[in-house]
Amino acid sequence: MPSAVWWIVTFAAASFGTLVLGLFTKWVDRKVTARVQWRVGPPWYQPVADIVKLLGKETLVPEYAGGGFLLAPVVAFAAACVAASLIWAANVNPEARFVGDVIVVLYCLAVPSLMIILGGSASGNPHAAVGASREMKLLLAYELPLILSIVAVIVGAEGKATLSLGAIARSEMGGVLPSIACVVGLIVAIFCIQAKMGLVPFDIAEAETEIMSGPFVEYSGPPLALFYMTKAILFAALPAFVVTVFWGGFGPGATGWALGILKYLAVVVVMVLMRNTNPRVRIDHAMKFFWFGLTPIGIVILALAVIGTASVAAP
Amino acid sequence: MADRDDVLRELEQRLSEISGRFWRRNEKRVYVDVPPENSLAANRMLFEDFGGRLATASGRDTRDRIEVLYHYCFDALNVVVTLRTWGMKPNPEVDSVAQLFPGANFIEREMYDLLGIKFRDHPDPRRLILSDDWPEGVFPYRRDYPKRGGEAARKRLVALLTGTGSSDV
Amino acid sequence: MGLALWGLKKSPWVYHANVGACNNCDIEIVNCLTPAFDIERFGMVLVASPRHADALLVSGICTRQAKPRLQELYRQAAQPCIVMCIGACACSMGIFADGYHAAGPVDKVIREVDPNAIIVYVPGCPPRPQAIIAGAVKALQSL
Repeated sequence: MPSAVWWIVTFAAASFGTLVLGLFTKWVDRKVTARVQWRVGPPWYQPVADIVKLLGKETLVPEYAGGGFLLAPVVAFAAACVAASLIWAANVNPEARFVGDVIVVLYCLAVPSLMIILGGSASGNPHAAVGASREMKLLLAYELPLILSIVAVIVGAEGKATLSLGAIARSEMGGVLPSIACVVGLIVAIFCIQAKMGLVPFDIAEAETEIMSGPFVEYSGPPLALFYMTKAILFAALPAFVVTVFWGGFGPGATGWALGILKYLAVVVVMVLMRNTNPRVRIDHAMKFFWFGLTPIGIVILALAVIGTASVAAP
Repeated sequence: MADRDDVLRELEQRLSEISGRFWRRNEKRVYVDVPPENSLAANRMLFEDFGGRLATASGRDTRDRIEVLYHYCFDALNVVVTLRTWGMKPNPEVDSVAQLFPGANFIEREMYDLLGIKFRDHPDPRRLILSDDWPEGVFPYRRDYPKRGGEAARKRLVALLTGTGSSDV
Repeated sequence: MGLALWGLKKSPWVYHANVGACNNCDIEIVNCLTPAFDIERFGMVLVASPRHADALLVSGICTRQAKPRLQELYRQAAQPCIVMCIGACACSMGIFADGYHAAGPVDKVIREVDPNAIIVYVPGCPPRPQAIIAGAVKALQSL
């Protein structure tokens, strides 16, 4: 178990690195969207310019805002940084683990959605309240299949149940063709992180044309910049998490890292293409899709993993 | 399909008990004057008995009365029949046809708002389009509403149109 | 401050408000987002909340009913925020100047709230998307 200094350095480096990677991924998303629509699209420094501009504006707090209004973006950003640093730490140094860090990562990844709900509810605006309630329903919908598919991998990794991300990653490293549970779990997880990111077809909470940005309607200036940066970090951390758990992670050595980056880009491309080719779904359709479509699939692969016939390929 | 002239002749005959002048201006346009006490009955007759479709209603301000015109389209016969009823100033009142046509609800509210003509038995007699802080009793579409600009504006416009350099305002 | 100004110039988020227009100017504003003109390459995004906006695109003469609401919108926008008057009706009320419901052109209404507001005029009826983009670019360059 490495020292505290190593952890602090990793936290700072991983947060900053994931932020930069996330801003780059955001630009890729906007550029690909523009190209698909036969447009030119913004230049490469556009997300950075957005953040710099937002940091320079004034912060307006509405009169009826509650206590969590300014707290929510700060906590969301902190949780996203912690999750990102844990994910990259498990990939860089699989020995640096503690039992249960998968649960910590899942918990930290759920906190930004909870903070969006808190911020929206604390805004004192009916649009924000509607957006917060939609985000709540969406959270209930997509967390279940995500956790089921991750539990399947937890049960099946290394032939015995293990709860640490480093062990999961190490057990699959170097594997190019994962097992059935991993493939199906990957597909399920991609849908779930599409919803967690708030990307079309599941951007129900922040539906611009319907409820005026939903929970973010009263935010301006630096708090909005913090939410923007949280989304950027999630945009980089979530595909990395999915690759780490289901697809072998960023393995040891240069080839492992190169393969890992290719896998990460593949997941990002799937997310961006899904975003560009689908309309927004209604909240009840989304809930039916997650609960009655993806959850049974999650239960099936969990059963297979438990039975052992679809376990993760041992090294 | 009934002949247009036959239908119009029957209409004129049926309406003659309750209406005044029946003027067929040309092939496609008919104007009927109806006194205000009979206007609801005439509208009902045109809609229910003859199958006319209320296209719209318009209001007019003349010197001593405010007129309301209901325009009925007979699409199959290619003719438009206009019923004209009125309310005498200073407090013009007319029976409302909103019970008969839900679509006339907003039309009559707008006429009340801009011309000041009251509609009896209207289910929702509120103003429609003027702003919340508009003063009561001031109706902008009446001819005695003071025009902004006035004589100075007219001179400016004339100077601009005739190109006579600077206007003498 | 140099960095904040650079950010403002490179990423102006616009909010569109119609205070009494015939909708022609609104159609031209939305045309700017289409692939033919594509203002996203300048970083301009149409946002849904005035709090997120750096530029208020206002079209229409300001009617009596809309005047307090436009002033409230300007107050809700996070400073620095410029106001762009799109179309002849917003610049000066045009042929509707003597109307019964006209409550002053947009710049008069905004200056009641903030005498130092930055206001940009894009005349036309309706102004072409090229004119709207030129007006926005000139405004950003002069900041």
